[in-house]
Amino acid sequence: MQIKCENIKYIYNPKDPNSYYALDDISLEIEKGDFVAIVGKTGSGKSTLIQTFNGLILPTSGYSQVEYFYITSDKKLFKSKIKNLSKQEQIDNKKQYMLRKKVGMVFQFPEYQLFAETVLKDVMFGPRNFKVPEEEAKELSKKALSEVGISEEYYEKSPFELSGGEKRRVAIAGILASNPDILILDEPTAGLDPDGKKDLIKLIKEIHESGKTVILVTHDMDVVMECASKVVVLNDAKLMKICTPEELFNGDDFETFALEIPTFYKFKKMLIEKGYKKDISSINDFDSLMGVLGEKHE
Amino acid sequence: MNSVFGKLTPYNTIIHRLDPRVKIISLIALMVMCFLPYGNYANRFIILGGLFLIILFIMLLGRVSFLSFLKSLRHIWFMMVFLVIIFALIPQAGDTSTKHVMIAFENGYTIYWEGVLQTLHISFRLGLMLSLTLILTSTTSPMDLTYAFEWFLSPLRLIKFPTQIISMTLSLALRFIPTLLSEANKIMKAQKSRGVDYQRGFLGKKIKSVTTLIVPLLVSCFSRSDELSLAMNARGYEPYEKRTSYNILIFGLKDVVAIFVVLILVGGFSTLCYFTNNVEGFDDMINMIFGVATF
Repeated sequence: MQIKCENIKYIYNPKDPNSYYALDDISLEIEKGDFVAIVGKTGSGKSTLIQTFNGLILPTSGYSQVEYFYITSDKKLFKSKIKNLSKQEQIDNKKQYMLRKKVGMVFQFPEYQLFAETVLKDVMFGPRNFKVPEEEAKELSKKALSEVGISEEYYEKSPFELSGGEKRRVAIAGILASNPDILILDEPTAGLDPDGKKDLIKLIKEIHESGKTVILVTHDMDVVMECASKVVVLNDAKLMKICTPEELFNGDDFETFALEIPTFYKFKKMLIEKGYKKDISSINDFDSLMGVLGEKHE
Repeated sequence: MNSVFGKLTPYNTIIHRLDPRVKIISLIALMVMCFLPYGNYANRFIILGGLFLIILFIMLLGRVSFLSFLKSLRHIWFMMVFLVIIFALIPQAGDTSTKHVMIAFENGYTIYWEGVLQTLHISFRLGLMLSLTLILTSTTSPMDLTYAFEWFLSPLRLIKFPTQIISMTLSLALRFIPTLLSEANKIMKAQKSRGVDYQRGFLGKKIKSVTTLIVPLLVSCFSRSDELSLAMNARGYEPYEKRTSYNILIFGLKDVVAIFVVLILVGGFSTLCYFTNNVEGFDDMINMIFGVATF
């Protein structure tokens, strides 16, 4: 288990008449190397949940755990959790500085975080904050930039001169350069054109294949179907379901979560409704479905 | 994000329902009452204490959190320390023979009671001003405040002053404060994820950290204002056209009562101010009633 949430609750504006639960009693576990999609309608608590994974938000009660890091605002609970850790781990827990290095977070519209004079300097900013020596940070940054498809000619350009898609790739490189073990992306494809979206999804899949744990918050069910090994469904701050994408999209309760049906399942549903004779209910990918459809023609 | 000014609390109290114009006038009137000279220090503290009790009562009526008042006081600590240095610690110039010694050091340096009391007095006044501002901002929506300002500025239209443009600018600025705060919050979180620590570090490091917030915030601010002006143009906004308002402020009975109460308070405090400064023996009366040394 790499990430764990134990009965976490989070209240926005406590002691205010406008206070509300953003997370209500959420417990879940994520294994190393998982590709987890967190889905749910707007305001269901997805972004709040992922922010507890790198300590940007401290749960009001309960705790999130990332390896040996404990994240909670309950001081008593925090002390009891870290008391059996080694001295160094206790220090790391108190500073939560190493946690940020371990868990890279790409926010929605990450291009808004760019600030440095040049693209390379901006990407180097993260590693330098994590005390990586300058030369090594430069190498890591160049590697990250090439991974996201930004060529050398851009290195000395101002990030503000780039196009929207390029800015986003630079911002993602800024996170990748710190070489996090866990990568969390909050709606990374929002506002991108189809090609940009395809490239980004390809990149995320490659990052996952390199052995990193990837957590993706998205409304795009095609992406969930294509990439995720596990889906976490949130609704009105509550955890509804943890399952595989196939279980979710074939399930009866899918529509109650106000999620969009992936193109494949729309097509499959249409075939069944139009009276396609063969049993295709257990098929969950286009290749297998095409195989069955091909058989009919022969 | 904490601020000296309060955040609107969505209750429906009598204070919330008052006309914003009445609230602004009352705020100014009560602020002036804080700054009237009430004779010697004992008088000043007793009278300002009375004013504080009245303000507390208004806070209670408007369900303004006392905790948020205490929190807002944190922002004037710096000012108080500065005042202590100015009034109590810096040697007093001029004739000091009439002043009361608090601490006399061997090297001749002296701290006078007057200096300390002056610091306390100014801090008390500032605290009262803060509490009044907090009541206004906690019980009035920014848009209502804008409508009220527009109304106050309306006589200037006679001299062709563009009051509507000013009020539109003001309302847009107010409208974008929460957006910018949320934007700043998002950027801070994104930079924290890249290892920026906004809390710790020395001045140089802090300035560097703030740059990582300010630059993206300015860029986003300009891009938003650009988009907004285009959107306004697209919807036919013409700054010099005559405009009507969707929200019309109505002056009701409760507002008349509120103005009446404020007038009584202004009358009462002005009378006290007059008595403490012009009627001989009034200081002694206070001394007799409360048993406090007056100087």
